[in-house]
Amino acid sequence: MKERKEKTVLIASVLLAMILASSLQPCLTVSAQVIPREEAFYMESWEDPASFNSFNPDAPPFRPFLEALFVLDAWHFKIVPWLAESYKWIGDLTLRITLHSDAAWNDGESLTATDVNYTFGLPLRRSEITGAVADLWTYLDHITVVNSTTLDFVLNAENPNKYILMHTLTSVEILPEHVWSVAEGEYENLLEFPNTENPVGSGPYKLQYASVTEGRTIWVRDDNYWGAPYFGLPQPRYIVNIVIPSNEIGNMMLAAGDIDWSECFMPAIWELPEGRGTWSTKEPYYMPVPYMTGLIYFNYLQIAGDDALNHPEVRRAMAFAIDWVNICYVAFSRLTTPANPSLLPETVPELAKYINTTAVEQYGWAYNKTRANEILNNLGYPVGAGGWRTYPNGTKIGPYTLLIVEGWTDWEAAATIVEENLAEVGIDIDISLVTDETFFHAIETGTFQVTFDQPSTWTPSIPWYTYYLIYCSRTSPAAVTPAYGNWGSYNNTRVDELLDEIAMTSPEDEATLASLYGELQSIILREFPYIAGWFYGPFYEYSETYWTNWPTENNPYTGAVCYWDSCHGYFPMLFRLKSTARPLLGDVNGDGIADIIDIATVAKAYGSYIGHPKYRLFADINGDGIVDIIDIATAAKDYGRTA
Amino acid sequence: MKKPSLSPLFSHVCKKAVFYLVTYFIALSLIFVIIRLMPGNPIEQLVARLVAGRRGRPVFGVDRLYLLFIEEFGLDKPMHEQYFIYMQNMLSSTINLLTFRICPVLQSANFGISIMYYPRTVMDIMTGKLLWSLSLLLPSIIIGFVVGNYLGAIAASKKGVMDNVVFNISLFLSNIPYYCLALILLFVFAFIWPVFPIGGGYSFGRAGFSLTLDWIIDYLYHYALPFLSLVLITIGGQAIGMRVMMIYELNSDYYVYSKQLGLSERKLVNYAYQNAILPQITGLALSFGSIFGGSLVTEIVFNYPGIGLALYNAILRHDYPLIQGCFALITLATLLANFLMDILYVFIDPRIRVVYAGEKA
Repeated sequence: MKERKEKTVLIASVLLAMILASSLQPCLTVSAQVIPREEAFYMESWEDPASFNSFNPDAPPFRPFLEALFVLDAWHFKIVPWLAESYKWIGDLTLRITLHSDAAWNDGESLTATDVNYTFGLPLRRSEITGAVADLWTYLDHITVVNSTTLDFVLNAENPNKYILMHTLTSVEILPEHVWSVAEGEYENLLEFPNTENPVGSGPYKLQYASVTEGRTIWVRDDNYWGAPYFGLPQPRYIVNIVIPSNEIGNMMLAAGDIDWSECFMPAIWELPEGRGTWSTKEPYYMPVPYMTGLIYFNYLQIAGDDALNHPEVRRAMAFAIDWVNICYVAFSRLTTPANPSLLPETVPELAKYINTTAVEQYGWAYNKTRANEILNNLGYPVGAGGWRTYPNGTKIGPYTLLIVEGWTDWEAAATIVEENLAEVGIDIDISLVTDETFFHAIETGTFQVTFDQPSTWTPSIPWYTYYLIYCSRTSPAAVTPAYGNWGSYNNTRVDELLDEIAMTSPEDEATLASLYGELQSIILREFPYIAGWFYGPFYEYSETYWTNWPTENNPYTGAVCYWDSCHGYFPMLFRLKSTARPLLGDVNGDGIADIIDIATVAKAYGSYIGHPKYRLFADINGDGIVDIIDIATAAKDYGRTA
Repeated sequence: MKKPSLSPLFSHVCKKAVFYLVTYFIALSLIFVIIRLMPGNPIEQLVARLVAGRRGRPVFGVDRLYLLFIEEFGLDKPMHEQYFIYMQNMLSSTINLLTFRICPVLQSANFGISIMYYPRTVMDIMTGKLLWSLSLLLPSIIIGFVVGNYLGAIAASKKGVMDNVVFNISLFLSNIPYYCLALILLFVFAFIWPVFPIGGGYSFGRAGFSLTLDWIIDYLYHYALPFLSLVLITIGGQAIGMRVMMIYELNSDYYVYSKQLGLSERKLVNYAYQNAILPQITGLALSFGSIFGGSLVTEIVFNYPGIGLALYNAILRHDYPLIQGCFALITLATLLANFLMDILYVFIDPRIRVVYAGEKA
């Protein structure tokens, strides 16, 4: 009996030791610091911090330790100089870029034109570097370093595409040559360089902690940031990225105030509680600048010859048969608006001026079932057995397979509405639910019949880029594998020519541009290869528990409210947030007191506007793009107050 | 009492060890075959994933990436060569893992490079996440096991009100879908009545571990809800199983006979308990394999770090190296647990002790 007791004690103590040992095991890394919540900016993230290598397309896109030459303000349609002080076309083909002379890396080295030249030159030496920076060389002839702060981008005379150049300059992060040239020696495949150990960059934040295991990254503000004299310092001292497993968890954390900034799809966004918000309090709630344009794609590699879908009028009948408002309301939870047939939103004057109203009136559509039936009857496709349309010889039209990603609930709901609406006019659609990988593979190789996609048009080069991505034959599976835009392989030589002509036209020559865009629209509306369905604004939700002064419709100091596709466009937001612990608007330099220095700072930038050399983000208190008397008055109103 | 001689026990352990080694070898081969039978080309999927990572910004020159990865993951070699490389990698990586990665020769054996977490190795990803999973699952399963069996045995032997209460609560706990219980706990204790945090392994505002009381309290505070949900479910299942086993033992001939001989109730119940617990222990060993997959719901609901979600995403995203690594790990854990149980049985089951350890009953 005694022996047994000993054994019991032995087994029990072994178990206890196992429990204790395993409980203490997560203690791997050693560093201790609790970040004060009111100084930290919490945001969701979808990617684990396995790599901060800019060329690894799978790396988390939020990399505040790096900067691009320019950032894009999609609301004002402005390119805001960032690392670059200014840019100027000094010839038809040459763009001269001047860098800030005091720009520096966070390890103390200065950032010069050779670093910029090195970054853009990488894909010429390393074949594993792909993406926008590699594609630029289709249009670029060479880069000349003039001096340490000046360099010239010289376009290829045969294909001088200014849109692609500007698009690329806002999206390529400038890398330190002294770090990356060492990495080049160490890694045969440069994509394997994780860049997670004290990564060197020029941005306002430094990496403090990154854990793939826990899915969290902590950034700390670099108080020696080179840009402080120009932009001030970003308000949050820390940024915490938390990897969330689903939209639901992200939405719950936002509601609870556990995260401050979120890019989750949020159904019933109008029910957001007090202190939470998004761009607008009115439909469609998200910013009306289309961040993504949703289209129905038909694949002309599979639908050819006498197939009914190969007839533009059949596709037009489908556009009439689908209840787009219902899709925007029910499937997209009121976050989208039906697309203008021209693909340009009529609510944004900078884009609306290019709408070819004649073509839109002639070929446009709105939900009208009678009209859809009329078109189909006139084409000679009678309703046959079971209510399905048939060819004149009696064979049934379709069914057509609509490829949808399983789990993208908004798409699933929209597809169901499309299926029902088209069944009402006798066109048979089968929804096929697949994984996202299967879907991407199918569209990139052109192996689908009908599908949805929402190409992003978040670039300084809209509307050219939108048309290029969707309609240019060079982006199609028929021309390139994997394709990157024109999934259905629509091919019209005149469209390609028009796109090239627009790309070579000066952006100031609005009359020529309008006529070229007009012709382009009349072709794509007449031939109607794809149906433009809906405009999606950027996903954006915020919490005012710890930070206020978020960019909104009434306070639109920047349009870049998401990090996913905006490269570093969100920087202005980080510099302009106000801590709820320090809500002083007049405290321009963030030292806790609104004094004469703040007023002087605003006065110094008086009269400047975005792009002007004297323009300072922090001086433009109301964020209307101009530093004027209102900004000075705002600073004066807070005079003498402390946080 | 004769001292157990070493040789029969030793040969028993050796035999078992060889058996489990062969099983592991076969399991690894099966994983190799199954993975390659899955539809789709892993590299095409990887490239699609890389492109998908940047939706809207077209990734140019992906064809070059494709060739690069085919070479990097060795998929351009003939099948038998791939198998050989795979087995070599898996076995050396397993040894590396089991020796806590201290052996310098095996430093490069790391189950390969993960696709999802490119360019991190599967070993890096797994060990970090595994520690979180084990520290949550082992204590909750062991405590759930001990408490559940105790309650089940008491319920069966005491009968009456006690039995009714334990049985009904256990029945409820073992039958409610786990995700429901987890969500209810989260909703009640983190949202409506926020005594516990919504998620995370420890406060999001802390950069890593520190050996301070403060940190440990913070860790336990985040540990409480996921732990509670797992313990409750385990208690329910174990109590139901134990109760049935005990009722069977309490009605067996030896029990009725001994009772009529006048042996004390307490001693009798103790005997019955020792008999009834044996199948429960076997079940426990088998359940170790499923705990990794089973932790998936905990990780999603409580946003808790761990290997379940990584495996789930790896399967969805066709991260073949990570799937292989996780499968190997799960197989290894199950086999190891069974191996340990086999040895443990020598001590807890007198019948096996007699056969293998040469001890007289």
